[in-house]
Amino acid sequence: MEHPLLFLTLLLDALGLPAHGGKGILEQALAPHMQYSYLAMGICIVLAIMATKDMKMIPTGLQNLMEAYVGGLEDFITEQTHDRKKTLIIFPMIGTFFLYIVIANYLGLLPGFMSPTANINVTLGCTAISIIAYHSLGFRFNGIGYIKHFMGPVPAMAPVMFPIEVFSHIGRILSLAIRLFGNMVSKEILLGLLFMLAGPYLAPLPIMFLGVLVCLIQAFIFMMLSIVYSVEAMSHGH
Amino acid sequence: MNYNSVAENMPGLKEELGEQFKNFSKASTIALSIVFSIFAGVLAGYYLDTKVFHEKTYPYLTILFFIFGLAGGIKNFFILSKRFQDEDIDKDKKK
Repeated sequence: MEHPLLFLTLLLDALGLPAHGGKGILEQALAPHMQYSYLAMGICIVLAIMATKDMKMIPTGLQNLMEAYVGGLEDFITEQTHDRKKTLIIFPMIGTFFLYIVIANYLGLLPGFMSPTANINVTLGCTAISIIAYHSLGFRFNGIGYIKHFMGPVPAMAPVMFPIEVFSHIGRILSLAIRLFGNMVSKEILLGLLFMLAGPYLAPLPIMFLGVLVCLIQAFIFMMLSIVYSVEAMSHGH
Repeated sequence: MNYNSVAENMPGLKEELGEQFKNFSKASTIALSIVFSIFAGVLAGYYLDTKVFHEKTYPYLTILFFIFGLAGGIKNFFILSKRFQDEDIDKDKKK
C-alpha cells in the first residue's frame, strides 16, 4: 500500500525533524500516531480554554455546548454510582477520555489526518490509565479489604478463585483496548482499500458513513466501561 | 426536510436510537470480554509451559490455565450481564 499523505508529518519533515518513527527516543516521540495524539490533546485543551475564557451567567456559543456536555455526563455517571461524591472523583478522568477519544477518532475522517486510536499503543495507554485508576480507587474505598474482591465468597476456594479473577481482569483490559483499536484500524484499512480498488468518488461513501457512527459508538463504549469498572471497584464486597 | 423536523414528527425516535446504540455496545462488550479472557488464559499457560518449564509440563498447564481463563470469562459474563440488567430495571422503575 502507498504511504498515506499526512500533513503534520510533512510539516515536521520540512522542519528537519524525524517524523516517520524509528528506534531513538525522539523518533518514537514524534512518530505519526504521536503527532496526531498531540494534535487531539491540543484541540481538547483549546476547547476547554475557549469555553471557560469569559463565562457568563446565561451561556452562549461554546460555553453552552460544553456545559451541556459536562452536565449530561455528570447525570449519566450519577445514574450508575448513585452517589455524587463518587461521581465527582471519577468525573475528570471519564470526561477527558470521552473528549479525547471522540476527537482522536474523528480526526481519521479528515483527509491528510489519521486517527491516533488506530494504533494499539495509544489505546493500550488509555486502557492502562483506566485500569490503574480503578484499582487504586478500589484500594482507596475498601482499604486492604479490596483483595477480598479477588478471593470469591468462600475462603477455602481462594487459591482457585484468584487466577480466575486475574484472567477475567486481563480479559477486560484486552477487550477494552483491542475493540477500540480494531474498529478504528479496520475502518482505515477498508477506506484505503476502497480508494485504491474502486476509485475515489462514491465507492468509499458507505464505509465513511459507517465510520462516522462507529467513531461515536466506540468512544461511548470506552467511557461507559470505564464507569462500570470503577463503580464495581468502589462498591463494598460481593 | 431537516433532522429536527423528522425528530419532531417521531417523538420516540431519538431515545430509540440511543437505546439501540447502548444495547449494541453492551452486547459486544460481553462477548469480547469472554473471548479475550480465554485467550489470555491460554497464552499464559502456554508461556509457562514452553518458556518457564521448558516443555516438561507441556499440555497440562496450558489446559489448566485455559480452564481458569474460561471461568474468568464466564464470571465476566455474569457480572456484566447482571449489571446491565440492573440498569434496565432501574430505568423501567423511573418510567
